[in-house]
Amino acid sequence: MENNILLLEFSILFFIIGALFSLVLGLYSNKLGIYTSSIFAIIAALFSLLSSVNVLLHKNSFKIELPINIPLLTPILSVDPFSAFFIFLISLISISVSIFSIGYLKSESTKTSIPLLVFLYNLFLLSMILLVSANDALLFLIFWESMTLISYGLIISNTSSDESRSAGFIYLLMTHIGSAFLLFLFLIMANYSGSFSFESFHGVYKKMPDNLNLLLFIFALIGFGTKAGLIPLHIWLPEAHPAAPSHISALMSGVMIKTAIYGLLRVTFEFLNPNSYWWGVCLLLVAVSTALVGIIYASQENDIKRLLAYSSIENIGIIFIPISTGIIFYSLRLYDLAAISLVISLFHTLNHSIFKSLLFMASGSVISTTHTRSFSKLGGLIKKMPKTSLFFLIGVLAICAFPPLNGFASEWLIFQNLLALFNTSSNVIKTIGIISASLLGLTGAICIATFIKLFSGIFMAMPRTHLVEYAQESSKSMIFSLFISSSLCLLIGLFPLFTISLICPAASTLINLSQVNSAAFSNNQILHINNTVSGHYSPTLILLLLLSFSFLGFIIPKLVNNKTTTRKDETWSCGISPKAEFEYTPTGFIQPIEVIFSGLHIPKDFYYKWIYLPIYDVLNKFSYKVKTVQSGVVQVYLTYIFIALVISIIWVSL
Amino acid sequence: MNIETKNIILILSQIIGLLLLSPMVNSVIKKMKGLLQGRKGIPLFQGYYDLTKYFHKETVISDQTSWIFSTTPLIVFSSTLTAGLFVPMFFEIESIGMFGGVILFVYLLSLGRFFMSLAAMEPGSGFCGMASSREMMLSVLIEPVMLLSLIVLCLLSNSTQIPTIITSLVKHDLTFPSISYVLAIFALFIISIAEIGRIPFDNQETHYELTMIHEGMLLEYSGKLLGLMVWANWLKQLIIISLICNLIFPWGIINKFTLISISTGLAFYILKILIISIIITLGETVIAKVRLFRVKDILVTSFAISVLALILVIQELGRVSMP
Repeated sequence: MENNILLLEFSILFFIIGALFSLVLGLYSNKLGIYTSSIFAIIAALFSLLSSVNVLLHKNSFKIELPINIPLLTPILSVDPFSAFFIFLISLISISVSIFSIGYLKSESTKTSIPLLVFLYNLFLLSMILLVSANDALLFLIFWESMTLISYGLIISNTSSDESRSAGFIYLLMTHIGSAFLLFLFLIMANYSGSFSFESFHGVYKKMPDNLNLLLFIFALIGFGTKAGLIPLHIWLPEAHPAAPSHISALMSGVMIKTAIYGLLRVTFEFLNPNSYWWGVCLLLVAVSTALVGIIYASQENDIKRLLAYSSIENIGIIFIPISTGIIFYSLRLYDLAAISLVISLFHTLNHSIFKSLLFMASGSVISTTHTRSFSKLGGLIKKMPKTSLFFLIGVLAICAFPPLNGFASEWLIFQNLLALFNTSSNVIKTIGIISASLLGLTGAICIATFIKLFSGIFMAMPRTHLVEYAQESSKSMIFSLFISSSLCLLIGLFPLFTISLICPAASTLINLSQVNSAAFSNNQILHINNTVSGHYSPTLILLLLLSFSFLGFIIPKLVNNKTTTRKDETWSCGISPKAEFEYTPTGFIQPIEVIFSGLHIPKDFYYKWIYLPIYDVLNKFSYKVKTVQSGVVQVYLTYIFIALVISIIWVSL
Repeated sequence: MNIETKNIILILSQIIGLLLLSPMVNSVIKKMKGLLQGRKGIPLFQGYYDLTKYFHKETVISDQTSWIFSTTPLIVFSSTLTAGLFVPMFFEIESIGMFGGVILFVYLLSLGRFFMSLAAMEPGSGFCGMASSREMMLSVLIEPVMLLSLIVLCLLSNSTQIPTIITSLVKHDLTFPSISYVLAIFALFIISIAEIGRIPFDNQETHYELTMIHEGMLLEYSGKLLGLMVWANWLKQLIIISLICNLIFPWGIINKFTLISISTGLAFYILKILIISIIITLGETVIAKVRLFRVKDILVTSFAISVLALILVIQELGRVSMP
């Protein structure tokens, strides 16, 4: 335990030193700044990774008192297994992203101001780690806000473009609406508990009226949902992610939006009491529609990073599915099933972090060598960037949830989880649960089409424009970090039970009525959830079968005839020699799906027109009304003060 | 004989059975279709002749392609064959449920489809791209309905393993009195026709570039690679036919192995396949291929049918468990 404290303290220290050193050295030389920042970030992340794994393995927790003294605030960091899981996730992703950024930033140094970027980078990582270990509502809000502001700084660090400035503004606006709701949430809770520390918030719902319990849940949903990108609160996400440099997008999509999951779960299960299954059913509807609408938007994008950003919205929807089943089970007092649901949602959170950061980094390599984000202008890059394309493909396979990669393991568990809703007695829950499973399948199918469009657009066939001509394979550090992330995809996919055994303590911290452990997920070391419509999934055996049958497919034609030859010739195009114009474009590829789902398609300005503009109008009108009071004449203000004084004297004397 | 060796023998015989039977089933359908159309039809062993012919030919691949194009046939072949292990032919492999269930089955088929569509984008031919795009459109419609109708059957029999579903349909007498079963099977049948790419969804016989879907994706393949792709497609056809015929006629799955039971099981299995093949052939002869964007209507209808089946299954099970 002493070691854990020391490790985390070291990690915080290294982040701070890294930030300061890299700022100073970065001003002197860009290259030096990049190296300092990345190396310090890697070391710091390794420390925090070790500390969090220790906590998860031994299921203990620890506290660190920060040497600052601010009134109203108890400056204590507390790391319990639930926080430790998120520290684990943040550190894991930041290690590979930091390695990536060494090579990436060198090629980007003309576009951005490096010293500022590397300085903020370390602080950004630090703010996320502090956020998930804060043990006080005000401290949490301070770190939440600093995470938002630092990431705003990172988004607008692309100094050359107007796009990033406007994206940054929308981001700032939306997340502050979210923060406002969080502020209300914590103030109301503090009002009932008498203190801002999270310990006093435990079970605070007992002191509240029931309606307030629900209202606070909605506040938390809006506040955290804005950061996570739940539809219709997602509008900042597809603007902000593409505007940032790619390694920052990887962090934002892979890690930052996950801190919202942290907050929501902690507030919902530790502080509030999900006492009606309607909370879960409504959230399930929101989650499924977020996933579906998100992937339909993604399928129509022609911008690599916007597509990935929309797919993050989709995956947030998928992560919210087991959260909502968890709420349903919790409200029905099926605590073990609720804990299992939470484990599944955290497992998918981890998996999504890994493959989404992999995809963002790999697309960062593509963008930095071709200087375009529009993949309908690319093509044929598989020959210029064979390694990057291989790792990109692994990321695509993982996100499309193909066995035996990690995406399938968690998506399979989500299916089993939805089937487990059949154990409840309500017909509404059963019907909605199973239809959700089928819609999850639909989401998966559109996801496959979308990523075929993306991958084939970037890497396959002939180059469509000259942008591809000068493309080069990315540098060694970038390839290495892609290698780390894709081997994680494969390893977690093949051995899901080990990862799940790390996550289980985190879930049982939240739902302390259930001591879920990895035994609930296995039957003779094979993935299986007890207490549902029974099903098993064994990734290693599936891989073995796939490999041996591939060998069979390789050997049978050889046995029939060993002497055939292979020759390369040009593609048949009705007798003309093939040109890039003959290829099917990415837009054309997705057109049939677009036609089919034209009924489900919500225009992108819908949210502005029907949700945000009306709210804006109301606020604006209200402000105009208020304006009449503000005449600007000093005498009038003096009168106001006098009236206020009189009223307060009367009020006090009563 | 202990259980391990027994399972290995069963798995091996399932693989060999699928590999050997699949070209034959395709030829039988073609032969019957020929007869119905007043032609002589192809010889019953045409499938095997075709495969050996492909394996003897020189392989010509497009110069635009990479390793993905040439490994895709292996991946499609292996993922289809792996999926095939989860659907019983006429005997039950006991431990196969430990490997995975219906969800894995659907995703394995979709893995093959993913690589086929991806590889079709690689040569840069307009026809391949078009076929790949249409295949994706179909798969978007097929996958949710397939999952939903299979899940309804899972709920009915309280298991996600296909062999267990089939045996418990018999054991608990869940078949014909239950409307949800009939509806789910009906939806599954429509989807299966789409999945194996037959009329009215896709025409396997056409070689007119603008109409073909599955054939279009194979346009740039030749020699051994084409042979594997074609074989994988026949395998998928046999697997899907075995799935529906065993779900429609869930009797005759054996788990004790004597000479008599094996021979009757096999005979019964062949009979079941023949019945389904006749239905498919009749359908192919009588019905015309529908326009591409009308396919949606049929598949959405079968989605609606499976939702209905789901609601009914909830009603039925509710009545049983809560007296």
